[in-house]
Amino acid sequence: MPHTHSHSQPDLAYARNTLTALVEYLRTQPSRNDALVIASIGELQVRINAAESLQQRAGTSATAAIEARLAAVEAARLGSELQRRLTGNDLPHQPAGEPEPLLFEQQRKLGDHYLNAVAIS
Amino acid sequence: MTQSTVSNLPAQASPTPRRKAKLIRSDAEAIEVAQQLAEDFAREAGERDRERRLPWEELERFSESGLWGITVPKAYGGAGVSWSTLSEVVATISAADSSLGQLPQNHFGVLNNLLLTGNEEQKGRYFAKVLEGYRFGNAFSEARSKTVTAFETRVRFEGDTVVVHGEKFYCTGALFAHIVPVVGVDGENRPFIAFLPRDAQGLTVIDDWDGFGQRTTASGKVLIENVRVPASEVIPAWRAYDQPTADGPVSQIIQAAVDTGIARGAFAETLRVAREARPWVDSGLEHGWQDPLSQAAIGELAWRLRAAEAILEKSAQAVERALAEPSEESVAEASVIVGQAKVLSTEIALLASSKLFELGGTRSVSSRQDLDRYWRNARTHTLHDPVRWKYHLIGNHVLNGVKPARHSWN
Repeated sequence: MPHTHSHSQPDLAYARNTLTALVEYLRTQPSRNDALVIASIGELQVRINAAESLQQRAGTSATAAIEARLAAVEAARLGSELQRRLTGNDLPHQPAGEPEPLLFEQQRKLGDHYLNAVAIS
Repeated sequence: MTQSTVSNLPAQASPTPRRKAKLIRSDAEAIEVAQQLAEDFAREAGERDRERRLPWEELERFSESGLWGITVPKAYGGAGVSWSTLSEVVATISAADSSLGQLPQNHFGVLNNLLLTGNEEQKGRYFAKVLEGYRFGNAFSEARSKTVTAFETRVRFEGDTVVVHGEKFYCTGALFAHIVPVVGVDGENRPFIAFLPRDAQGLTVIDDWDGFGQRTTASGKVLIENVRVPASEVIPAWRAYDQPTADGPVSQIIQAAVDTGIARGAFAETLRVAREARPWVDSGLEHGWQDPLSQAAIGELAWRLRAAEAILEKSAQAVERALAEPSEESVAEASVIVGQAKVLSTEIALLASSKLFELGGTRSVSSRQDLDRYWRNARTHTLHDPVRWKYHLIGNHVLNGVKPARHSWN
């Protein structure tokens, strides 16, 4: 999975940018005091921190790189969803230049590694 | 479950340890001892849960191992292990048997409160007892008060004596304890902790916990009927929250460690049952372990578990910073990151303990295996404080700059 690690960074950056944009926007809105809105921002922060924590050790193994990749995807996906739900707009998402193996396949390989001790190249 | 009132001490209960505990001297030794004990505790964890056989003997081995004394600071003769090590110890034991993992939860919390609010004589005396093998239980929560932080139990100071009176519930560890710390409030509604000997006159521990999870924690009722103790056995616990301290995050990180342990145990069992599962008839596969859909599901469990573990480690570092340099900022930071550990450990504990059956198939629900204990334990233990309000706590800090309220649940 030579590109796995490099693809995580743009997704993580997107998730962070989304959080920053949402916080800036919401601070001008009455909904900043809405319990559900507040909790949704909390959830995005959790996903970002989880992805960042896994990213910090992504270089240690192919397994760790996939774990970080999948966490980054989830953070980006939640960021995008919240952007639409809370502002009605999308934030541009710059994808990584090179293609990567399907995320489904990366997740399956990760599971195969834990289930059957199959090495991930 | 039949309620069995304990008006006198049960045969196994005692106000003093049966044997002196070993002294653990380092973080590495603590983790090694925990791993050895976890192997031991895992063997009959299912039977204990199924039969609700209270773990008296296992607890003796647990506290005699020295693990209940590992947070005693070096200045008082202990190993003073890091919170990262304590989290790992709790998670390791909890993966094997989360009831055993939860039992010292409040013991460690009380030790931290003692460190923060006790006087030097009290610290020296109680830390020495813990190193000898004394176990603290807890009689903190109340079932009838309006919220978890409201207490109706009273402490009344009468010269050198304190009178404690009230009723407690969810008293994990009290039945098995040598000393039962009881929270009560004074006339100014300030919480104190009174250290009551297990055989104190007027102290009754009732084994009426009938939760479907964490079944052998005996987290039932405690009656405190005008129990009198010397004032030297009472600490002003409220001071840990009157000013910024890490007491709340310390309490919470142990919770997250228990749930991370449950997740680890459930994940390990998921791998085992998935390896043994039959292939689905339409898959065209020879073996269940070749199933790509199962493999993908396990991949999801794996990365979510690693994320929970990574944030738990970051939480431990934040707790260390807040303990070393307590301030509004450092304590808030610790509360927020520990809140994230609570969220992630809750999610993966519930997910892994449910996926276990999906990937193991119908044979995995056999009562003989007792694999449902992981979900029952996860569901029960994670109710201690609702994670929906952890999302809110974290979001309110990010969005509105609001620092978490300081109490034992943050």
